[in-house]
Amino acid sequence: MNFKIHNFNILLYTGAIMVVVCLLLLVSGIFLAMHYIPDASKAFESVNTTIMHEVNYGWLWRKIHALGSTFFFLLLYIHLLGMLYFGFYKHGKTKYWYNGMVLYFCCMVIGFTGYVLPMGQMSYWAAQVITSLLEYIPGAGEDIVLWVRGDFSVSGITLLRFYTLHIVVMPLAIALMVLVHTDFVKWYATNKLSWNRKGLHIQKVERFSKHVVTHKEPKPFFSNAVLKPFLACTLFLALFFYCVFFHDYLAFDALNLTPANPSDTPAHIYPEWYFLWMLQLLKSFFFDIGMIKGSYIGMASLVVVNVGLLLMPLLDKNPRRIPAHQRPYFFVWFWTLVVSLIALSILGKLPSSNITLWIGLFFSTILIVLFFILPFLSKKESHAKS
Amino acid sequence: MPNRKIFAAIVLCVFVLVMGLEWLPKQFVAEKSLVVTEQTLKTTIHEEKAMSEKEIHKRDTMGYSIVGYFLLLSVLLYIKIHLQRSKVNE
Repeated sequence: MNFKIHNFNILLYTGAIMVVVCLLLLVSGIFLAMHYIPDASKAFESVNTTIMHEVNYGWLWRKIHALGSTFFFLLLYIHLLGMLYFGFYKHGKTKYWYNGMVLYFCCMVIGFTGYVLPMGQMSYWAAQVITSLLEYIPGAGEDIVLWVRGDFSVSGITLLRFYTLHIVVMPLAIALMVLVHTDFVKWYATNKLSWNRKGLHIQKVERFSKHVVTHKEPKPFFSNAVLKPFLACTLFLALFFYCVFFHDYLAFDALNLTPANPSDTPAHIYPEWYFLWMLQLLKSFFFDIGMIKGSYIGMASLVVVNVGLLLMPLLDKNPRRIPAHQRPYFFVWFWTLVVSLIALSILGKLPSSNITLWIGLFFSTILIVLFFILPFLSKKESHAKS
Repeated sequence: MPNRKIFAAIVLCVFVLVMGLEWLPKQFVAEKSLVVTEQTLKTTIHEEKAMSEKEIHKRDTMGYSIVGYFLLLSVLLYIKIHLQRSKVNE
């Protein structure tokens, strides 16, 4: 069965909406950067007093920026999982997948550095915990932590480094990656040709044929490739601004509204929601196995899952690029992955208790096992099909 | 899998995630989260003190205007697409 472009419009729209959110983040970020002071003692005040109360519409820019990042990561996960569902990491799409995964890691860095900048209590402690994870790198862990922080703990030097990463290095890297990811030149050429021929769904052979080919009337380019994504974007913006004005608590943590206090460790430290599944994965192995510490196993499992996602084109041995609902084993695999990610994210927000630790261990084990069984599962599936 | 099913699956997953991240932590540790609740209340009070009633009203009006604008634009776009489609079918 051929897989046609109109079957996954919703997932294609996520890309268009993400570009709009990126622009919103860029514009609001520029306005915020004008008033933000990257100094450990002044950062909190510059965000929560100057920007939120003194600058004209500063509150609006901040809320757009904070909620924009939340929505951006939500769309990013939908986009990533959607591409995974439809097998868009095979046959000519592999470079997009690898590039997209690098883009995803860059977004993680920019999201994390942005979360630290307000220097609230949770920002500070999340930075402290996450940078200390680098200690688990064998051999040079402690030196790397010192190099990243620029100090023995998170301080003004760390803040300045994160600020530079957040407003200069990562945006440039992401802009470059997006251009590669969307295959900008090819996209432009294809659209220009399609526009001239009044149809997006004309096959390549027909498009370059010298003879006039009579075929079914294609869908109009303007309404199909411009207006529909535009409609998706306006609907999204209506929802987005509704949340900005009336449900802004979705992006702000109550604990982060108090200034950072290095001598007062919060009872439960957690990062932004998009890192929660990773945090829970790290915490899940709360026991040592022989000589190996639980924290090292947690770190190893985090590496396994992220590398597993990156290497999907190699792990999936089924040569056909077909959606998951036409692959019975992969369909179960995919939904197990989604459920595990959601469950780990929810558990990451809950304070640690015996029950959450054991449920977390269960889902973490499943998540790791999924990437180990995928090659066998997909191979078996392809044999069964042939 | 048709678009509607994909859309329904996405909405369901997002709903579960939002409930799990916003509602569940409050239910799970009601007694332990007193500090957080207190801080949230304090913050709200401070913010409310700083903003006059007029300012809150202004923000709400601005919010409804922007949301209304995008909804209206969506309706117009939908009509435009529908008209263009029916024109092609003729």
